[in-house]
Amino acid sequence: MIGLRLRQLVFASIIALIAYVFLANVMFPASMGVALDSYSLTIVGKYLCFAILAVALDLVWGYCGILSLGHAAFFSLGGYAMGMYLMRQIGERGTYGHPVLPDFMVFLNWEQLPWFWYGFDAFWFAGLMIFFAPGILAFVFGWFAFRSRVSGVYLSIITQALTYALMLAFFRNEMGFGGNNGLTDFKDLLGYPLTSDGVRVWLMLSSGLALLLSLFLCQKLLATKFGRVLVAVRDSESRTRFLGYRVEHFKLVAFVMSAMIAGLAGALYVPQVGIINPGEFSPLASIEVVVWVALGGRGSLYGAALGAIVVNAAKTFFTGFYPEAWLFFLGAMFVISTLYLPRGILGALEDLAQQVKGKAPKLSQEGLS
Amino acid sequence: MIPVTRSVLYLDGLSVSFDGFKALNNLSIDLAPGELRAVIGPNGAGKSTMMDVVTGKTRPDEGTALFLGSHDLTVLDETEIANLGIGRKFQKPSVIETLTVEENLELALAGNRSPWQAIMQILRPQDHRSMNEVASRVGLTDALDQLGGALSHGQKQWLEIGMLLLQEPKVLLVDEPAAGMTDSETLKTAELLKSLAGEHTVMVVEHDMEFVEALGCKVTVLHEGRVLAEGSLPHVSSNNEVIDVYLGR
Repeated sequence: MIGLRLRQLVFASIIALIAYVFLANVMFPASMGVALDSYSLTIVGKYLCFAILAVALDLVWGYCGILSLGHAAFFSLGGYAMGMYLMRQIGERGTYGHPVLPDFMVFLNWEQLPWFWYGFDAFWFAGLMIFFAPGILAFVFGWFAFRSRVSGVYLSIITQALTYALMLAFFRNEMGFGGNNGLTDFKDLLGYPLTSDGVRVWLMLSSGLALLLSLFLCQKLLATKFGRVLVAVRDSESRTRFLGYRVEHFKLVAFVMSAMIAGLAGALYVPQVGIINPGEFSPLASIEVVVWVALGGRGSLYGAALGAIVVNAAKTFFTGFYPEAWLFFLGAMFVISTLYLPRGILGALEDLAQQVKGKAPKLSQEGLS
Repeated sequence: MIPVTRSVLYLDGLSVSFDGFKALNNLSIDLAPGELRAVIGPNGAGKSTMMDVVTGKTRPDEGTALFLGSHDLTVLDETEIANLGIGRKFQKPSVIETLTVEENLELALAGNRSPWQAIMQILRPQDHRSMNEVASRVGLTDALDQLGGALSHGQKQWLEIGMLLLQEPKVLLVDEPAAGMTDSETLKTAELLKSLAGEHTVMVVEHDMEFVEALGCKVTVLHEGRVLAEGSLPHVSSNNEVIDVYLGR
């Protein structure tokens, strides 16, 4: 009951945030002082995207036991798909004024658009690719990994290798994704200038809605028998096989869904920060996502979202005021959460609330195995 | 060349070795339809390895393992074998601890096992009925909402047996069902297994001789990976070799 109420509280807070921004910035922007400025909007929008990514990771790690240390790869692929659309939107306004080719291609003396850039001038196509690019990668990777029964730490290591390999590939100019610099200098989204306050508000609101939608969908999915099979796979994979379930198919479905959600997060992130480069694929980025989920509460989608927001808010604060202390703080948070908060912030709050109510803490269904 | 057999489970000349240790050594057993069979033997006799081979967990080095005379168990994997109708209860209770008793039963419920079905599935009234029926049969009606991890050892054993029943298998492989049970529970388990024979083919691995006696069925004695003796309990317990290696003097 208490766990449920805490989750509702997280959900309600996100709705409240969206409603506030909608009222303050869209409906009544004239009443000064209450509207969020564009700096805060972008920051909040970024946190919301990270929260979506954390939810995606928690779906596979928290519920299915797949510790992916490469989820930033799916996030980045979604981001690149959006970035490619934004690059094509620049058109003739680039430094070199080429009507079709993005600046970096002109600089590399390319004559024409590589085939994989076709179609990205249409938003609907980019919109599909946001889901398909990470989804197909996850499908191919998961197909081979899960069929070969690679699991546990070995799977984690090859997911790290996956994101690292992609980072090295995207660094190469010949790949056609802008190399080291990535994609940037974006101008418009759907014809509206990215720097305008209106677009920033809508991007932040879309991120909030996307977070609510991913929370809702994942929760609905996990409430079905499918979710219970995932938990069974997490806690006793071989037992699930002997019950007649094709474990690799269940893992694959969850992994592909998770990758698609991560892709959506990346696609919403890129227009808000204005750049996507191969650094996003760095192994460290994926590990940070794991820290968010662990700190917020693994195996509880709301905890994961909360963790992403708390850690990133702390990161903004520390890197702004005590830049040298940030990494120590991150390390300390991880150690403290591992030692004292095995079920993360949300789990600790639940236990606390239980104690206040004077009940013996019940073994939670979503607790770690 | 597949031998012609009417057996439900036909094992012939099975050998498995782990790092030179012969876990199974030319083992042959066959089970007739509807038979109840007890398999006994000291630790390391190859009882669990035999079940691993039958359920696809371990591949034999040599030998034949056929299900219903036509399915070659040495090439199928665990999921395929489970879906053919061979259910297994493990020695160590392995119910899903973070799911409730009811959810554990639901997972075991016979039916389509695809992810899509799992997403779309809504339990029908007859599903609830068969789950409740099994729950009362194994004495867990009052524990349906409890987490699997919160059950006592004996209750976990019962839950596993219940899950096995809901899978509606043709063959039940039951590994040490009486471990951790009180005497009366042990007898109840024996009664339950006896009532299953006929409709199902049941193979029980057990240490507890009282339990085997209560089953009152044909007994196979394993030793060092092969069959030492086979027959009724009085018959095998009068066998000198069996007395030497297992029952002790």
